[in-house]
This record gives sequence, C-alpha cells and structure tokens, in this order.
Amino acid sequence: MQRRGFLKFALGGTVGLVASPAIWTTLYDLAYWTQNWGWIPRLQKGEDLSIATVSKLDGTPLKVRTVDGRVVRTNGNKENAYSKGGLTPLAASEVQLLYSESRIKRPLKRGFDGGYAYISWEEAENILKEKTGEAKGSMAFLSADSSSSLNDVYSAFLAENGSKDFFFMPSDEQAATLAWHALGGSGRIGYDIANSDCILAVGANFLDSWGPVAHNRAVFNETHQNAEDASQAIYYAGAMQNNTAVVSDLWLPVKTGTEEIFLGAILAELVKSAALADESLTSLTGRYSLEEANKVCGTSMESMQKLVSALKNANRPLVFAGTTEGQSQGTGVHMLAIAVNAVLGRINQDGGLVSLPMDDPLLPSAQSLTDIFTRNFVSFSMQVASGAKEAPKLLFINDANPVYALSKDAEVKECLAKIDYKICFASHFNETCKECDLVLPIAHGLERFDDVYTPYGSGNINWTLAKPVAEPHYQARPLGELILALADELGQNLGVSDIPSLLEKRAQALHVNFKEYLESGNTYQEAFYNFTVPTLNFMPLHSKQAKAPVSDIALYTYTNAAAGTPSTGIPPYANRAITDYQLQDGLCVAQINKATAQKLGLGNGQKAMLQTKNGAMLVLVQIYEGIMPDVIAVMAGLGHTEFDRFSVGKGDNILALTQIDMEADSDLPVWLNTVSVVKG
Amino acid sequence: MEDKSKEVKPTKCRCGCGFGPFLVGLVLALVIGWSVIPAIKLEEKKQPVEFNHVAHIENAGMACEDCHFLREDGTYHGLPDTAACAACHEEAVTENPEEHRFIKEYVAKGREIRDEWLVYQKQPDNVFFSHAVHSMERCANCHTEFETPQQFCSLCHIDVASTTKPPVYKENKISTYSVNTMKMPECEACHANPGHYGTTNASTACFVCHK
Repeated sequence: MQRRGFLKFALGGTVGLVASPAIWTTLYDLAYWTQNWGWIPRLQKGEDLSIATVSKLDGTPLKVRTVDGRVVRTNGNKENAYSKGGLTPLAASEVQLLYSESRIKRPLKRGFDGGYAYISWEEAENILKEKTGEAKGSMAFLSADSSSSLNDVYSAFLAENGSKDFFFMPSDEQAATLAWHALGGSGRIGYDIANSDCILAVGANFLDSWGPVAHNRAVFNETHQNAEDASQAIYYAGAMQNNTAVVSDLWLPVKTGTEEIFLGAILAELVKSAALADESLTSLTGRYSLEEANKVCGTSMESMQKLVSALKNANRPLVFAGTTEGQSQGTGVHMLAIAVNAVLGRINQDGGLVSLPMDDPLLPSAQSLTDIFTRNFVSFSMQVASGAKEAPKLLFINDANPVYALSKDAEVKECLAKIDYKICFASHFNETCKECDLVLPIAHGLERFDDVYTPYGSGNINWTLAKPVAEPHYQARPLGELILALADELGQNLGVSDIPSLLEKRAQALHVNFKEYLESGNTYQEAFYNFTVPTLNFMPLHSKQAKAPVSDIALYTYTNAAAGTPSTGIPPYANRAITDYQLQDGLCVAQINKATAQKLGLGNGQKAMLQTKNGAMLVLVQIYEGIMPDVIAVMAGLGHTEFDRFSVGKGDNILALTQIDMEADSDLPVWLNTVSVVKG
Repeated sequence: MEDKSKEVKPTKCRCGCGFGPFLVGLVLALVIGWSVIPAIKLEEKKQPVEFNHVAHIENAGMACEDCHFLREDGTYHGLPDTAACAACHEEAVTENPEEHRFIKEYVAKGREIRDEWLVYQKQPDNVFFSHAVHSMERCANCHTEFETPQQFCSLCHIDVASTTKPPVYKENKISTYSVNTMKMPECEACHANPGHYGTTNASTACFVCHK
C-alpha cells in the first residue's frame, strides 16, 4: 500500500473509531477510574446500627446511627413517647461535636510559663490524688448539668472530702425552686404543659430553648394538628418575636426586665374577680395595675384584657416564667407566676403548676437538690474574689464554662485567681479551661453512661438513660468512673462501684427495669398523682419591689441552638444556621425596630456601640419589627476565644457585657437590661 | 479543430486506493470499537452462589420484599445477610448441590455472603441514591404504566426475579464497576426531564445526588 492508500485507511479507521463507542466509553471509564485512586476517601462500611440513648446537651431522646462502631448521625427516637421522634438542632449536632477539633485529646497541665503541656493519665491521676489530699475540707465543685444522677457521685465525693460547696451554674430552675420553697411549696416545681389548654409563657421560649424542648414541641404538634382547631392556646410575653412567639395565639411584647410588673398586673386583675380569702394575695393588688403595666412594659390595654380573659375562661390554664438559658431574674418573677397559678386554682392540677417529689440522693453522703440550690456560684465567686469568703484550695469544674457564660460582674477570673488549684473536666477546650491548672478530657455524652432525670420544665417525673454508643475518642474518660476511682484510691467508699450500678439504683428507686430502659431508650414517665393543694404563704412577695427599667433602651440577650452552649462552643454543623440577623462581617448584629432606630439616630447596616459598666461592644444595627420599641436584641453564644475555628472570631460575647445585681432576700443574681447605645 | 477523441484519458490510480482503503479502515475500526475493545475491557465474574430467584418466589412462596426492603429510617436493605438466609437454610432443604455448598461454606462457617455478593448497580461512594425517594409509591402517582414492583424495579435493575441463576457480572477493568452500573445520562433521563419539575424534587443540581 502506498502512502495515499495508507492515509485513506487511517482516515477510515479514525472515522470508524469515532463512530464507535470505544473512545467515549473509555473516557467515561477513566473518569470512574480516577475515583478509585488510593488517596480518595472511601466510605467505611460495616455493621449499621441504630442505638437508643439521650442527648446530654438538652435531654432529647436519640437514635444514634453507627456504622462499624463509628457514630455517623443522630436521629430523633420515634418510639420514645416523651419526644415522639423530635430532634433539636443541638441534639442533631452531637455527632459533629463528638469529632470536633476542639476536643481535648490528652490531659493538660499548666507549666511554669503559663502554657500547657500534655501529660499522661497516670501523672494526672497522681496530681488528682495529691491535690485532693492536700485540700481536704477546702474544696468546691461546679457542675453545669443539674439533670444528671451523676451529681450524686460528685457531691458525695466532695462531702467525703469535708466540703459541701457544690454548685450548679445559675439557672431558672434554681430561682424557681427557691421561689417555690419560699412560698411554702415542697419538692420540685413542674409545669404540666402537655395537659394545659392555655399557656402563658413569660419570657420562656419553651418551643426553642427553654425546658425539655423536644417534648414541648411534641406536645405542640399534638395540640396543633390543625391550626384552626388547636386544643391548646399559647400566649407569649417577651421582648422579641422568637420561635415561641411566632406560633402563639397572641404575642404580647413586654419590655425585658419588666416581667414582674407584667405578671403583677395580671395577678391584680385576676384577684379582683376571684373569691379569695388569702390576705397575703389580695393585699398585693394595690401594688400593680394594668395601666401601670402598659406604661412600663409597653403592652396595650386590649391585649392585656384579652390575655386576662383567656386565662379566666380556660379550663386548664398554666403560667410560667423563664429567661435566656443560664441566666435568672431572681425569685420575684417566679413567685408572681406561682401566685397567678394559685389564683387560677392551678396548683397541683392536671395541666397546671405541679409539685413533683424531690427524691432522696442515691448515695449516702450526696447532697439533695434542695441543699445544692441554696448555694449559688455567682455569690460564691464574688465573695471569694472580694475576700469576703475564704478561697477553697481546690476547685473542680465539670463541663461548665463560667468564665465565658457569666457577666464580668460575677468576677469569675478574679475568683479563680485566688484558688490555689483548679481542675477542669471538659470535653472541649473552653475559656474556663484556660484559667485552670489541670485540664482533663472527659467523655462526651455519647461516650458514657449517664442519665437525664426530670429536667427543669417537666410536668412529671421522667427519666431517660444515656449509654455509650462509641468508645471515648482520644484519651477522654468518663468523669463518673474517674471520680469513683479517685475515691477508691483515697480509701473512700461512696456507696457505689461504678456508674451503671448508680443508674441501677435510680431504676430501683423508680421501680422500673434498668436493663429494659437501657436497651429501649424509652423515657420513663411517672403519672402525676399529688393532687393535694399545698397551703402557700405569699407574704415573701410583699418584700419584693418590682423595678422599672433603669435605662431608656433595654438590652435583650437571647440564645439560639445554632450557637451551641457555653460548654460546646458553636457546633461546626450549626454554623450555617447562624443568620445575617445574628452575625455579619464578624460583628454581632443588634436588632431594633424602626421606631427605636429613629430614636437613636441609627439606620439599617450602621454600626453602633453597646456600652455597660463592664465594657463596650461594636455591633451592626439591623431593623427588625419583631423587636418591641426601646429594646435592643443581641444573640448570646458568640465571641468565643477558645474552642475551634467554628467558634473563634465570630462576634463578641454579650454575656460578659451584661450587668448583674444580687436579689436581696435570695442572694440570687439578677441579670440587668441596662445598656447605652451610641453610634459606632 | 482539435480531435477530442484523441485526448489522453487519465490513467487509473496505481496506488490501489479509491474508497477501498478507507472502507477497510472504517469497517475494521467499527468492529474493533463496537466488539473487540468492549470485550477486552470487561471481565466476567460469577456470583459466589448460584442463587435461584424463581425457586424462592415460586417454590418457597417468598416475596421480593422479604429480602429487599426499605428500613424505617429510609435506608434500603438491598441484600440479605447469611443469618437471614440461615433462617431457612440452617439445614439443607433441597438436594441442590449449590444449597449444600452455601450451607457448608457460608452458614456453617459464619461467612458473610453479603460481603462477597457482586452488586450489578453499585454506585461510587460520591453518589447518594435514596430508594425511599425513588419508590414505586411516589413515582406511580403519575406513572401508572407500572403494574408490578418487578416492572418498576427493572427500570434500573436487571430483572433477576425470573432467573434461575444469577446473570454474569461483567466488570469494567478500567473503572472496576459493573457494566450495568447506571451512569449520569441515565439518571438525567428523569432528573433533567422538565415534566418532573413541580411534581418531584428531581433536578440536575449537583448536591441532589452528590454529597
């Protein structure tokens, strides 16, 4: 064949190949082949399980999906009658938090230069033993989780070592319990939201961030299957149109800090038409009126009358108050809420305010919740900082982050500086860890045995068990087991050998089968049975002086599950859920309505400076008509300086800026709404 | 005038070309492209066990859903495991030598058949396919032409329900996937079909299928 013939042959061959699928399918195959390269990540397949447990972040019952022993996803537990499959954003982010880069990997010890060095667990245990021995009789323990039965181990350990200074972080639960006890109530205070037909929530964002949210939402779903035919009316009083306000029948904008005056006016109006012989209540009516409330709180006569009428006409009304998580407004607002329930005849009634039993501690030397709630950490911190109280030699901090979560007024850093040795048990490296001498990695909620026992906001005694669904990551250890081992080393018998045995004691106290609940992940719910109406004495209310706001513009801080908790930081998964209405260009967004903006001379997108005596903070102003006039709302949970890249460098910490005052008779901290706003 | 009859006619090409070489090259390439290369690229493999679908459906009265079903959480249980097979085949129930071999090599030894079964439609890790979303219940809202699940499933899968032994598994030596693995154009036949807009969430956005 000559050259020309060969070229024709080649041309024919080329046309033939192009007309055949060989080239194109091979290119396709090559594309697939590139996905088989060794460095490309592979799905790690294996046994696919769904394990029932509970989120220790907010008490949501979970089904955790594991593949080959690795946790891959959290789902709601549809078989759980308490949550009915509900899943909160916080519980959904459990997996990301489990693998978070902010997890503490090994024990850390502060060196002479102030920096941290990794040490072995053996060395850490020796330090724990040595410091506990040295500080006998002079130690304190701060815990962030009041719903765990493991607190009995910690408080028993503290008692065995000669101290009673066991604290929880400030909360509505503490304030409400003290209010309840001050009025003559006993046990735990509960709210039977599930059986009420008319709810007035004052400040308590109970469908988003207050109480057992998954349960509350399940109740909402049941009572609101048809919007036009809902079996429960919801009235929400608060400064911001939040997730509870938007689904309520009536949102009453109430200026933050004036909730006592608001509830007092409702009480006075109800007392007028109630056949009450209780002088301690009827004599209060002269102190409050709807007119005054409208003037101070910003409510209208029409909405107040509508609310009072709804409460009067409802069959099973329920009233409760609450604040931003981790804060409190003292006992006054809770006393008034209790008084309103009493006037409505709703104490210890189906769908009312209920008195739940306060169980004896599970261990002989452990402290009861009643005892623990009589002490508050803010007061302790301020007294130690000022020298009014002798600083303990040793402080244990369990997954709490007071350095970040509390106002500068609480003087936490100054308090910690006076304590000889601070040991922080945490899963994630937080701002408080940085102030401690020894930082020990503890097992995450999905890696340990624990429980959620009647979280605040419940309407009955309930109990859900947490069990490890994965081995602890890095060198984390379950704190309960660690404390039991330490007690054993020190020759102390706390009355239980391991944590499952402790939880079994809880099961025995409730007369339920431990193994059954451990495997099923169901929530044990005890039917409410105490219908005896207690005799309450409302005289303590007379000593309360409801205060009007001290500044023209009131600061309203709110939480959002997307920002995690002070102990977790912002979960990586939740970053995208923080909107431009909360954080923009690295600045916190302060929301105000148009009238307030005009009053302050501010416009949308302008910068402003929020000032309190604790400092100043630059914010970006955004106009939002879901904020009532004369209130400026800023989301809490931003401005972390520790954790990881998902938390650091995002806005400022409004919690540090807020001011607190101490309530006179209860000595509880009251978060103030004082702020001044100037152009930034 | 010039005598045209005496004009010299061009001589025939001596190189033997014309269309001949072109046609030879074309035909040869087409044969290679359509038959030889695909055959070279594919490696035929046998399933670990000669499973007889017909015997299980007709003789044992089993339904497709006994082994292939959606879990409650929406994930799909595509293949039964050895334990599920052992529920009936702990002991041999027929004289079939394949059944005896399966019991001896898998059931008795606790060897997992699911790990070795070759999946004809196996997709790469980066493809997220949900059987729950592509269920007959959903598609049959409009597509009434499917009378049985078998017809519907066979849209994407080989119709194995009527086979007495598994079809030969043909693996592409380059991609390492089965020749029956669906490729994007086949997905797009529905996903890019404007008729689906508004009635399903199908779209051609990357993250609909690739996570």
